[in-house]
Amino acid sequence: MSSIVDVPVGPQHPALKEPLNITCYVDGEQVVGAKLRIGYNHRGIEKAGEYQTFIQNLYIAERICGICGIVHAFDLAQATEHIIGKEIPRRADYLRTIGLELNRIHSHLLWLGVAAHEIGFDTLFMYVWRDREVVMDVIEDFTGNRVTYALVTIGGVRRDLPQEKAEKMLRVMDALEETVKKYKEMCLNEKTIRMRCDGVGVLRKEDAIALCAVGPTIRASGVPFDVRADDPHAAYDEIPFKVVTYDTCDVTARILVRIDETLESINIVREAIKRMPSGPIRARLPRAVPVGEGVGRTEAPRGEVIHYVRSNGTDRPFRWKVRAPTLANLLSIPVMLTSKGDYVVYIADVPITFASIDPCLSCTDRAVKFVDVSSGKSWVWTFSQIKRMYWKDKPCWRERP
Amino acid sequence: MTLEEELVSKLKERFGDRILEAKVQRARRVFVTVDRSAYKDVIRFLRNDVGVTHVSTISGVDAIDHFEVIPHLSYKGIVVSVRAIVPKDKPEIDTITDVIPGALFYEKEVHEMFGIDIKGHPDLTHLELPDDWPEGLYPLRKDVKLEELFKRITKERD
Repeated sequence: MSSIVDVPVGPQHPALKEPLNITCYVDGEQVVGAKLRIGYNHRGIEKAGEYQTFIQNLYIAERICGICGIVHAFDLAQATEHIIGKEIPRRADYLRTIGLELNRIHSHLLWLGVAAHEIGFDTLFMYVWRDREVVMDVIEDFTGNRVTYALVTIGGVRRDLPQEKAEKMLRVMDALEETVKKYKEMCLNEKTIRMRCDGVGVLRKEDAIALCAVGPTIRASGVPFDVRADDPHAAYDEIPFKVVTYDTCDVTARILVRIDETLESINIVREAIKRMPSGPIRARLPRAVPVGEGVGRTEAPRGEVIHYVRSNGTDRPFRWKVRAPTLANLLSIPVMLTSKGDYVVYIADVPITFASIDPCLSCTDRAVKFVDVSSGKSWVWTFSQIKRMYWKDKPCWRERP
Repeated sequence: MTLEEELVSKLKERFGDRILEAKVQRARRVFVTVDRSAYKDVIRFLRNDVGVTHVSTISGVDAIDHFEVIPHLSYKGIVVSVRAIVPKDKPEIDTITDVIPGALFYEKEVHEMFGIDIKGHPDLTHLELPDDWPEGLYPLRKDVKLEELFKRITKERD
């Protein structure tokens, strides 16, 4: 099976995770089935982790995802702290929460921009990414880096948030809230968006539950599954927030869940800054971790992230297992891409449907393979080819290779 | 009694000796060790009678003298890790995809990384490893060292 690899890596795209090959089975214009093949970017991090110390692994963990790096470092630290069995200072919990939520805000804005781009609404893409940049600046101000923050460590965090930086953060949050509300208005009322997204990429509630979908994908199908609420870690037990759900189960619902969550996250950051106690930001924990096992879990922008760590009493993990949310959501893609009864999937909707689970999208230019079920003929298109076909409003069937 | 303890006592009551060990590590973290023969029954019980629908992932572990297959289930915010012991001379275990369809990819992963045969799994092709991956090389086994892994991959590719 041939595939065209075209990977755009730009300054805005530090994440290169999970390029994916989707084989779509099409009958005329309709997609009647889809099959996935992943693994193009398997880096063997779990094996590598067994040869590094826990502290070194924190920095590897952060490189699992360039968008939500804090999440993975947090999970590994959480699992390790569970094995050691010591609590960390409360202020560190709050600082971690702020880090996690800033991650979510910029990730959701990034996704909104990409989604707008996928449906050909590039103006919105430009606007959203402009505003995301402001969040990146705040993160840089807070952690010292735009990506791979090195914020979380075992026993706490490595950087405090001084008063003047917190005030600056609050000012940015106020301005951001205004613009995000504007985007919500736009997504609700803009006809172009609604026509491209309403009733597209439907994942019914029972399918979402059966396939163990996570994050905004399952919440857009009406299931209030949010690790922050169910399994409160860091400072989520003291900060009130709403678990956002929508029940139209389509791409529009996923857009709205993410926009509403961004607004919730802005509030969580505000609350966290307001309620944050003073005190130390780090407890000194032993480098050699006692024998035991621990499970770290948090809600990443894309959904539940779970790390399982086993220690045999040395300073290196015996086993370190990571599950990122995209893997959990991938099973839903073939369901969303399968026409069934009244529900019809067109080829033009494949990119936005695939994008709606928010996979790491810097690699979307990996090809999609099409198989015509009537003739058995198959051919390969890149995502940009599909988009070009439809944007120029050409009858694409004449150009079939 | 907390929700975690309730869950453990329910399991012990239903399965008796077939639950080898059950402990509540801390709030919302439960670890249960079961006999391999009881593994699927426990999962089915948790799914149908307790109401667990979500499997977060399945961890495989090479514990030197045996393998472990550990599905992490999520129940009302509690992570229930059900550990099944798999002997090295007969590395196989029942699939749970017919009970929880969302386990499909995780079982494939356990299969390709540890060489544990998942009986009844619908599709045991590669998930993360490439199609031309050397036959019988299971990278997360402890006896596979990094250097050997590197050597075999580069040799067979050339």
